Amino acid sequence: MAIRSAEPIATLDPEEARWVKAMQAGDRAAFARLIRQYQSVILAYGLSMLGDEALARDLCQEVLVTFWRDRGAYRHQGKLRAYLLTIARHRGLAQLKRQRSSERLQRATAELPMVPVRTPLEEVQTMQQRLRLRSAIQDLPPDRAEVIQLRFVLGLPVAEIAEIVGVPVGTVKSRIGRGLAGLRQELSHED
Amino acid sequence: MKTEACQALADETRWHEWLQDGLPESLRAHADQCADCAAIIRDLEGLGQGFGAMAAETAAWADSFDLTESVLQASEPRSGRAWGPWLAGALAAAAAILFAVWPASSGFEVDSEAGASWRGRTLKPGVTQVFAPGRLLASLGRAQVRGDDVQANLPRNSALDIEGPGAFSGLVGTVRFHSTQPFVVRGSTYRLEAAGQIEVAEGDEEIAKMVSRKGVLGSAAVVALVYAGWGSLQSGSSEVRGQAPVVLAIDAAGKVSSSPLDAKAGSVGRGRPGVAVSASGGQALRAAGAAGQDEAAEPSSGAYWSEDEQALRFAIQGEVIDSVSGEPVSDFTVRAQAKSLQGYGPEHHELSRTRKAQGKFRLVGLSAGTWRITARAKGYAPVSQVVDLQDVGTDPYVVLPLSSGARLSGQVVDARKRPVAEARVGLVACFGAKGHSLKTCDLQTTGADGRFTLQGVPADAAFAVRAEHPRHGFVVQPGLRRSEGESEHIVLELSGRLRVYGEVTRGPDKTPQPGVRVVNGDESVSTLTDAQGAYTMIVPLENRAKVHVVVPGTHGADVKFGSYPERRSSEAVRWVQAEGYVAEVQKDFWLAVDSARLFGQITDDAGAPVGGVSLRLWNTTGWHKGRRGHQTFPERTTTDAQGRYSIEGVPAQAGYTMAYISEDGTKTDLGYVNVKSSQPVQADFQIGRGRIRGRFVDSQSGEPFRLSRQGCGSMFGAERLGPQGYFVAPRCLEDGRFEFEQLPPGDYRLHAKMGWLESTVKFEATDVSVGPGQVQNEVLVPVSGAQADEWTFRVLDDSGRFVPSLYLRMLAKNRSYTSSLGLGSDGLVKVTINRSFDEVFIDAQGYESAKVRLKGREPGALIELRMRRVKSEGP
Repeated sequence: MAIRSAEPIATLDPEEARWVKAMQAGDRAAFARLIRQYQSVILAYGLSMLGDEALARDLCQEVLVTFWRDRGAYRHQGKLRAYLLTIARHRGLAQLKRQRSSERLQRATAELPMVPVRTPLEEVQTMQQRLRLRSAIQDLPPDRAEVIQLRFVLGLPVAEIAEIVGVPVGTVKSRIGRGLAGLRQELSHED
Repeated sequence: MKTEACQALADETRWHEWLQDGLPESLRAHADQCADCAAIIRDLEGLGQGFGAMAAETAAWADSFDLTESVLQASEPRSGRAWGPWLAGALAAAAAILFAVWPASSGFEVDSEAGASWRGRTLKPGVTQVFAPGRLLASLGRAQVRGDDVQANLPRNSALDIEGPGAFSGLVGTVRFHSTQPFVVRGSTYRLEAAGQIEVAEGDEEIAKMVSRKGVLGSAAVVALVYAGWGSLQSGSSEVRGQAPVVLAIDAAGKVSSSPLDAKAGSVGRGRPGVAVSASGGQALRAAGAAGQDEAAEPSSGAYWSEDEQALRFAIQGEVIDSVSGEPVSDFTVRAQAKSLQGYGPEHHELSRTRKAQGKFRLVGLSAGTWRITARAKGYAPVSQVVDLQDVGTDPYVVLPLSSGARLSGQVVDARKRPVAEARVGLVACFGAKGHSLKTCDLQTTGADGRFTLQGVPADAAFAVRAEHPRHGFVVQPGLRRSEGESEHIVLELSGRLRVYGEVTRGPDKTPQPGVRVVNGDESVSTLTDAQGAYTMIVPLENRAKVHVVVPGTHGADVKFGSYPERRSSEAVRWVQAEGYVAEVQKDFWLAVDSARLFGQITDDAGAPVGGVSLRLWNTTGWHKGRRGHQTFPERTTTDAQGRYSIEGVPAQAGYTMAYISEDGTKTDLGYVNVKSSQPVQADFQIGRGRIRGRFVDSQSGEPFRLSRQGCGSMFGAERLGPQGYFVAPRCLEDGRFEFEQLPPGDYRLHAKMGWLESTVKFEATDVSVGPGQVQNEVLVPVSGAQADEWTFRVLDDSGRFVPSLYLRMLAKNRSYTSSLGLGSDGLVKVTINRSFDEVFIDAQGYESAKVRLKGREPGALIELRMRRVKSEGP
């Protein structure tokens, strides 16, 4: 049942701190290295947040350019990943705000055929049902969907999520719990 | 303990821990003792697998990009430190086509290609466009800049608009430009034209070389300090020039003056609010006191002042005709290339605004200078003409006669001289920068014999032909020359070689791994990584050019991490001309610090080992420092006679999915396994998913028994027998047939779940055993009780329109049962209803319920209903 070995939250490791320092001093090579290190997690985050591949790429680029431009702003507290994802979150939310109205209308509300009662275990076996999991996550209240994505799709530790979202750890945990309960209900839909 | 365990299981705030670490055995032991607990565990397992799959999908997508280059480019600093000394002025960077703007809102440049789009905008081809989020800031060498800190390389003849109520007062920080080409900086009250460097800074005396005021203090409108070279200021009525060092000024009345400048460079403007403008090294420095003249839109002939670009623009008129008949050619393109010192530049797409009526065109927006105009049309050889744009009075008129040119036939072959089908062949100019072809170009695709024929090849002029194929490489054959009507066969040989390069690193720090062996698929080519962990090798570019890195395994045997180059399409593979024409692809390997042996046994449902099973293991989870590192899987293996398998070198700190591949090639997931450290991990799996198909029959007559949809889907199902039992619902097919898919091997009892329907329909419990991969067809489930009939409704409202969103409601045993009804495309609703119901209700929101009495009606007959709208209460 264990699905991943999540890495424990830690402060910046010394090796990485060196790179960040070099980058803050204007070292482009160090910046390039950090880009390579972090672009996929930002991309993944962007994709799960915005649901659009092109937008996710734009977001990632924006975040990294901002990181370079405001490179003095990053102090060596906490993880760089959390810092970058916090930027991504702010920009992504602004993006969503702009698009929400139109996008909501466009999202296909495909009526699923009467789906027989199955256990979630059976559900996730097939592609179609994985799509259902995605859409079920989207249907959760945004604050819960967000933590579920961060926790299980990006695999971030709870403490880091708390840092990114800007709420206490306990709140993250309870949101995850309610989110899971919501998903379970959604996917079981015993009627 | 039991109660505690049950409470713990029901506590949703702890679920995520179990999803991560697995359910503690202490809880699992109690799982089947309390209500709902088994279901919770099951559901969490299902969710865990779903998340794993999602994470893998997302990660695979995210890993397929490398934005490093584009981010570096977008964040390119135009270093400010070299700006101070005016001697730098003459050394301004070569005219850059690149335009990078970096305002506070973090814009970045996009160098567009035809058809590309950015945030829903279609980008114009060949134009450098600068964006800030949601805002187009510049196109075609013209920029409007808002922001604190702007650094730009201006393209030739570009104009930069500084927005704001006046001059540079809208700016807080620094604006720097440099260009060897003339460009224009325009504010609302003045225009400044210059070549060389200009610096706009606020109160930075060190670097100020020219100070701009707009009559705020004293009478000066514009003051320029010229340190090097010479400069001029011009107003509507007069102009003054000065040799450096000199101060030039225009007052508010438009009068211009000059005075020698002493060594106190920064004295002008010191201590006053405002912005300094400086320029140095310019050949022509001119600032005009008033805004740009108002100009009418482009006239019908002659040069014109382009307000957009703040520059004089020329136009060319002409027509494109068939050289033999003299008739106008209707479908053509005309493009212009500006001549520079280096020869002709890129073709100006944007400027090719043609008017194609009767073969005529007019190109507008051209700058002064020499241009080469090229006309192309399908089936014709391209033709060019050089035009000098000087005369402002009338447009030059050019006639471009297109001849059908020569014919070129040939064959495309690979390195072993075998014909290559599906290769693209055409004139070199027809291949755009990234493989986009011109619409009016004749681009051929070779047939099975690799042959092609190109029409419209230039006659009596040198030309070059290019052939390319995503998996065989590309070749350019230059220096061809054919006379009109002449035809000759050429053979284009594709090298069929791929240069693979990359680096091999290990661990979170990506420590380079020198001396690691890298081999291709059949190990015919091998190389070792150098001291920096880098390797490069040229391998045959076959359909699936594999590359492996070979590292020593924990048990002596070598472990091969393998991967195909992920990017094999023609777009992603770069064609390079090195050691012949080869394709090139980058493949980096990132090895884990620890790896472990994964072993186990595959058994069938009965626990008997299954030998010769084809297994596939691939990396699904495991993020290392924000990145899934081990792209080197999937690994394949086969079980031995005892059903055992063993895979060496499985990177640790990652999760994997094991699947087995059946003989027909279908893949079935067996389960997930975590590899946490270098300790060997044992993972045993059972294989086989079964399927049960069957139908309902009347328990008396054995005839097919028709069940209502609710009867089949919701109430009837297969219960897995055993301690981990659960209930699976079928897929309900037509004619009373049902199907259970993807069943883990085991014993199942087909029967009804508890429910109200039991009273009307009784299923005889039927036990079915499903072996691994087994399909149980034609399982008959006897049913007794009332059958269902299919009824058809047409439901209209008062005004005769179809009512959407209908619900069927039935009453049974003091309980009502509601289900939604789907409206068919013909507006009819078909529904099966159990015969035990004499009456049903049709509901719809906003309408009064309609009661339908079924008893006494002919089954299957069409029932028409009129529904009445609920009278709205109040206003």
